Amino acid sequence: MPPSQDQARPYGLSRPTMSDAREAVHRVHGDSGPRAWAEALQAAGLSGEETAPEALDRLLAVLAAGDEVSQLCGHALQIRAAMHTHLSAAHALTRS
Amino acid sequence: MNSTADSDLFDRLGRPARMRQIASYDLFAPGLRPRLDALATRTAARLHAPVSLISVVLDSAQFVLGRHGVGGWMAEIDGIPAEWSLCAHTVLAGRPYCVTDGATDPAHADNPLLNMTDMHSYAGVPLIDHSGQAIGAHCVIDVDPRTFTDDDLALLADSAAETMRILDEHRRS
Repeated sequence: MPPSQDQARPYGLSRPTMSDAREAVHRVHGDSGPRAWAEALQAAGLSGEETAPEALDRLLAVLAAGDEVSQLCGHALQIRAAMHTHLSAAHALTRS
Repeated sequence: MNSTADSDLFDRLGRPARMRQIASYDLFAPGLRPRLDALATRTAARLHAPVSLISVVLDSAQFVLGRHGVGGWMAEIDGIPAEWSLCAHTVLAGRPYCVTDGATDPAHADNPLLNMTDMHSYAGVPLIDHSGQAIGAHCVIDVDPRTFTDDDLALLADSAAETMRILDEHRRS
């Protein structure tokens, strides 16, 4: 595996994407998932097609201020993002 | 993007009814964490273990609510991806779950969490709410291989029951 790929997926962990967030919101809300996702995107001013990390950060902020289930869903994604950020930085340090 | 195996795990943990049950507790309430930290400290002392955690297991991550013996960046993140979480095994089993030596256990030997920490052994009991839902786990972790006894698990179960009494004080009306 090339080094850049290692750093992108330290210990096999990827940074959550908008696609992961969409799956998560649909999963935890069940039948009302599509509506919850659409409302979160609208509140964040996003289309759902974004790939920049800043877009996910905006979405997580909206989920954190949302209903209780959305808060937990967003918190789980936040934990994964924080773990990825730490491990990526540690990985870069050990390779420098 | 998550693997298919991870997505299956997240689907099992993230069932809407289960997530609603977890969301019925105010897990961010001021004052909750110090009480659960104290309980984790007591559990660690009783079981002579260096680490104890009290967590809910969300759809894609374990969320640590109370802890003893965890510092640095692990404490700052206060959580673990669900696919690395031993407490997720406890939750899905719905009963006590033990790992005697993660380094030699085929189910856990490639777990990155074990590779980046000194943890070797684990004992967890589920946190069962009033509806019968396993919302999380209370666990101890040791740095040496260890076979946990029935007495150890009974002590852990007592602390898990106390955890639920504390959480019940933070149920939303």
